[in-house]
Amino acid sequence: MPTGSPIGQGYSTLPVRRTPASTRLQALNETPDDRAEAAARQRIAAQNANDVAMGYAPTPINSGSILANRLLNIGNITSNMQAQTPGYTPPPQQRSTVTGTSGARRGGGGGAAVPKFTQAQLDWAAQLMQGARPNALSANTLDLPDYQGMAMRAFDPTMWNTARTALGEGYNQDIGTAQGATSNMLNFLNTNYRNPFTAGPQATMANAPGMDAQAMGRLLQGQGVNAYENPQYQQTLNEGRAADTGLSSLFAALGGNEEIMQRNRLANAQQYGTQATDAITAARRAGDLGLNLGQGQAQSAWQQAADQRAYQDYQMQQQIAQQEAQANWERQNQIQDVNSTNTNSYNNSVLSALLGMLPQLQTNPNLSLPTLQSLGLA
Amino acid sequence: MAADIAGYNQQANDVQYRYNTDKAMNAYGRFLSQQRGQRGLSDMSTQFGRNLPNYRASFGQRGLLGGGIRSGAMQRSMANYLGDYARDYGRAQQDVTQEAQNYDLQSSQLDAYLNNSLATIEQQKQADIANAALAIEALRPYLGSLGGTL
Repeated sequence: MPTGSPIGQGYSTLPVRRTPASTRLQALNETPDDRAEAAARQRIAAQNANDVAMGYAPTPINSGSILANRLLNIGNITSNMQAQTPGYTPPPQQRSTVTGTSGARRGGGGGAAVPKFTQAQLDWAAQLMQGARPNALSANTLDLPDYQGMAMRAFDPTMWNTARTALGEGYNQDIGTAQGATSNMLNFLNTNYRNPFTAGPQATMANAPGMDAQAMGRLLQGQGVNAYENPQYQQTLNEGRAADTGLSSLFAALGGNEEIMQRNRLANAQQYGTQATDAITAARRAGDLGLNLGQGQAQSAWQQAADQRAYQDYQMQQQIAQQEAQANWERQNQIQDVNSTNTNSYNNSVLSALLGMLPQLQTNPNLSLPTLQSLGLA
Repeated sequence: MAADIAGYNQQANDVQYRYNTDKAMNAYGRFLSQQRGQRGLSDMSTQFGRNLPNYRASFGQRGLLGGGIRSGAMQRSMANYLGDYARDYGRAQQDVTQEAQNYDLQSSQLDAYLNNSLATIEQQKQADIANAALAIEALRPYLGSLGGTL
């Protein structure tokens, strides 16, 4: 099997392909990394196609898979290089895989002259491959604008407060009216009351018309009659005194009754005034209770609407958060796929390039082969 | 909606009017009673003054009076005569006085009735005002106009 010239011909005879319009349009949106990756893929594809045409590989190399015949070829080339490198000791594992064929390949050759590779060219190629190593892409995090819920108008108790104020003013007016009525009543009772029986009867035997008792006594004495011992005269005096006393007692009883009546009226007026003010105060409290209940019901309805609105906002925020998380997750996976694809493609490219250089490398046994680290493969 | 106190004022006026007329009638009746009684007492005194000399003279005709003579029979008779006069006169005075006292009692009762009636009417009026205020206060939450006036 030829070992050098077909690969070199493959690099020099890559066919020029006309790309479709969609590809050209896509190329306008590609980044330099995308273009480098695409170029590497294209180069690998061309090389694979060439290899197929030359009969080295029945199928293209894809995603790091190397066919057995190509591995065999690599083993032959490596054995030749090792044989031409003084002091080189192959690793045991490599020895086990390529030993069987190395002897047979040493007898081969005889093709066209292979150009000699210098150390500078090899270093330059290694640097070139290292420089072409694809950079890992990083995903930009999607951060959608936070959902701004419509600010719900705060509960407005103005109507109830206004009603309370009006009710309070009305209460002050009503309680003032009731207290004024009670005050007027008490003032009337205290001002206009006069017990008509306190003074007693105006007419008494002391101020009876005609002669008084002393004049009658003197008349009797003037006629030689002892008035103090006259039974008729004394009886009449006693009757008069008894009548005055009886009437005075009657006036006293009636006067006492009037005093009781007055005290009862005062107490009743005061009691009724207290009852009226209490009842008005209770009515005001009932009004306040109605207002409080009404406001409570309205506040409850408002709170339900506010809770519903908050729940809707929460759902929207959750939905947006899920959209963000899903988009970021998809984008990160996509970037990881791209990075993996790029790395694999690069590795394949480097591997292909190294394999392509093997014939030239073996022409110069003094070359120091690039390490895997320098090629970005380790 | 406000309490109608005109009716109470009218009642008070009616009571006051009735009191005034009754009081005037009482005063006039008392005056007539006193005048009538005083006239009777005066007539009684006049009659006594006219009869007393004749009564004393009758004792002289019977030789029971005169020349330092004052018999025991005459003294007892004079005591009875004067005592009866004093009793009759005193009772007449009591009748006149008690009629006046009756008028005085009626007058005081008129005063008491007026006082009680006006107090009752005034209390009803003030209670009606307070009740109206209470009713308005109770209805304020339902009237729509919470700050209305009486």
